[in-house]
Amino acid sequence: MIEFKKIDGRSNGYWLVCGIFLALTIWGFYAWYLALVYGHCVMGLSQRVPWGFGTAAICYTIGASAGSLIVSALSGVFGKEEFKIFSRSACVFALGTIVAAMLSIMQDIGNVENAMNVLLHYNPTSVFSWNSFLYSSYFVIGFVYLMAQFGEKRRITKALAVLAVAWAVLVHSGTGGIVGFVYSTDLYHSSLTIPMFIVSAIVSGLGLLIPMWILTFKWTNRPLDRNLMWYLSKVMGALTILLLYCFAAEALDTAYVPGNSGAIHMALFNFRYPYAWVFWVIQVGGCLLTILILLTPWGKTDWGMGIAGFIVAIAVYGERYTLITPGLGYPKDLVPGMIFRPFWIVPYYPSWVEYAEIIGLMSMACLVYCIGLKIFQILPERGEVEEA
Amino acid sequence: MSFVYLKLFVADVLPYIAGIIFIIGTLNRIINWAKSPVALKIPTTCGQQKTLPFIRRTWEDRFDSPYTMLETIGRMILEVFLFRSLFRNTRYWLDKQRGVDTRWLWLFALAFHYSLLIIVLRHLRFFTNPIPGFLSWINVLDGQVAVVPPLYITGILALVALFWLWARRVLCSRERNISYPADHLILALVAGILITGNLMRYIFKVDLYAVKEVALGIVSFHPVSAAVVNQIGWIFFVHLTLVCVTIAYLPFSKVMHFAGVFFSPTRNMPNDNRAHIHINPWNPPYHGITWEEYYQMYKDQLDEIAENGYKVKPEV
Repeated sequence: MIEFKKIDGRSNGYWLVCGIFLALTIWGFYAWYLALVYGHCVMGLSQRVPWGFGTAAICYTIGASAGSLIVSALSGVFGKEEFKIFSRSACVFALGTIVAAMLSIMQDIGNVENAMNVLLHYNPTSVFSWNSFLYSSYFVIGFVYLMAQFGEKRRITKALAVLAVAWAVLVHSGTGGIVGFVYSTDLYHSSLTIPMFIVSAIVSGLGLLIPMWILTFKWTNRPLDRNLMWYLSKVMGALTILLLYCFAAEALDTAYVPGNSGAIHMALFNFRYPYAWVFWVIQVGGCLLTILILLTPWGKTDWGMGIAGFIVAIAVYGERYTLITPGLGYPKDLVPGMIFRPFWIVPYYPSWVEYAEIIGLMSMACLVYCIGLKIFQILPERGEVEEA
Repeated sequence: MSFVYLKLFVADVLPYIAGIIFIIGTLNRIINWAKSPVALKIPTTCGQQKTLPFIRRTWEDRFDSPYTMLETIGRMILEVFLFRSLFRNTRYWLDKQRGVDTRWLWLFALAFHYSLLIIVLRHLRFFTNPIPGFLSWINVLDGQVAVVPPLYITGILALVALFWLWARRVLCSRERNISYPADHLILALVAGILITGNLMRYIFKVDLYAVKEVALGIVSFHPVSAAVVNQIGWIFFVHLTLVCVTIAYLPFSKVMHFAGVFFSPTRNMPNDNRAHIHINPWNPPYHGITWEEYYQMYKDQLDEIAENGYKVKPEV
């Protein structure tokens, strides 16, 4: 029987961490306030690139949430009982990040009340409508799953874990569908996007959870089994390799279509614009650096695993960015065979408001986790596998 | 496809589902409590119990340590309506060598519960036609006409008290340690109901005639049509959904203390241990034995004692 205990949460360190996250959250909400009052012109968005950092943040946070929930259900679904000690904390983080994702959608649509339009004018043929249903039901399922874990209801927890994992996959497939189903934008349409989203969701979820767990256990003076962390890091590394493979396959798939040559050239090789830099340095470079770190002996240490996780989490964010913005920055082929003048590529540079919003929302998820540690029994007394 | 089907579901179906779960769940718990045997007489007391005539017993002692059934009922009434036990919420810190008065819990609990009662009573104007006269008095007393529409004190007070009680669970280390996630869940649900209710009254206003039609439709089993629900704003449906979820959840939650207090052996038993024997219903049935059976069991020993003239010497 694993004993979950609330942390005392009275130390100066705890208040400092909470204070930092709170300050960043307030900063993020201030940025949101600016966007509400002055409009989206305070962001780096333009008429041509209306989806930017904020939309990338939506995909990213949903991915991180889905990934965290899948990790949370490792014991319930895949029978990995040794990971049960992490199931509650991962589930809390998943709920925090899905709330961040929904708030990210709210800031993207401008007037918050417009969110009700999805219900008032429900359009069952739109992937956005499917997602509105999937996200809200995902939160409810995740919440009930967490409550079942708190209640130590073994059978219900197991059943809900299966449902939660299936729903997490559906939710993130739906998110991938927003980009992958679009036919009119050269760089969007790809059937590989959806499975790639699932892989990157698990990678980013693990990438955020591993450093978070290492720090949590270290700062709360609880023992943590390094082998468990190393196992998760190896899974993360293997999936990062798979992710790189998916990048290559998708890029080649898109590039092979003759009409896409201009677009793919801009996205990958035109270093006058930010897209190629993000692709090669943050996305591919970050993934390669993660694998490199994990292959060295240092990669097995706490610092090594934590930093590798953090880097791959940023790399996945880069992936979301290059998935969404280059496709919009490159002019659309609206009428085949005709060239529009002027034919220009629009670069997209996020403003500090967009940085503040994503940092604020992620800080909010972390703050929820920190407060959750104090109020709920989500952290085990010992982060080790108990001898039978 | 329109939102109307969802609205119709919330207005016409969900209240009945919630009501059925509530009634069956509550009855189930009450029957369970009523059937549970009380093994010991365990009233919690803190007054002088009835004893020898010269030991003085004040009227407070009669309620704190009731001896008769009447005193027990009196104590229960005071407990239910005035929360007397919370009024004793004081603590003594051994390390600091001082007592701390924490009776603010009593104040906020009382404020919260009575506000909630008045809010529920005020809602009767939606469910009754014609409206009972006393409701207009409640509205006059509760509503502050300095604001338009009149600001209902209880609507705000309940919210303030609720957040105070919630802050107690989050900020006080002792209460935080004994709080379960379910305790926060019910507080969150009630907070959601109060916030949406206040928003609906003061900011996102809805068509109250249509709302009354829905409410009367629910209690008279006449579901309303799509034309009626379409006149009502979305926030009403959020409010009603939260109310239904809370009502359905009540039988599984600690809120059942509203019924449980009457079945609590620490409250519903008189402290008359010294005067009346309390038979434990768990005791196995007692079968006595006759003298003849006893004699047959110890025949040799008894005969030997009789032969010695009933003079028993201790073995040295």
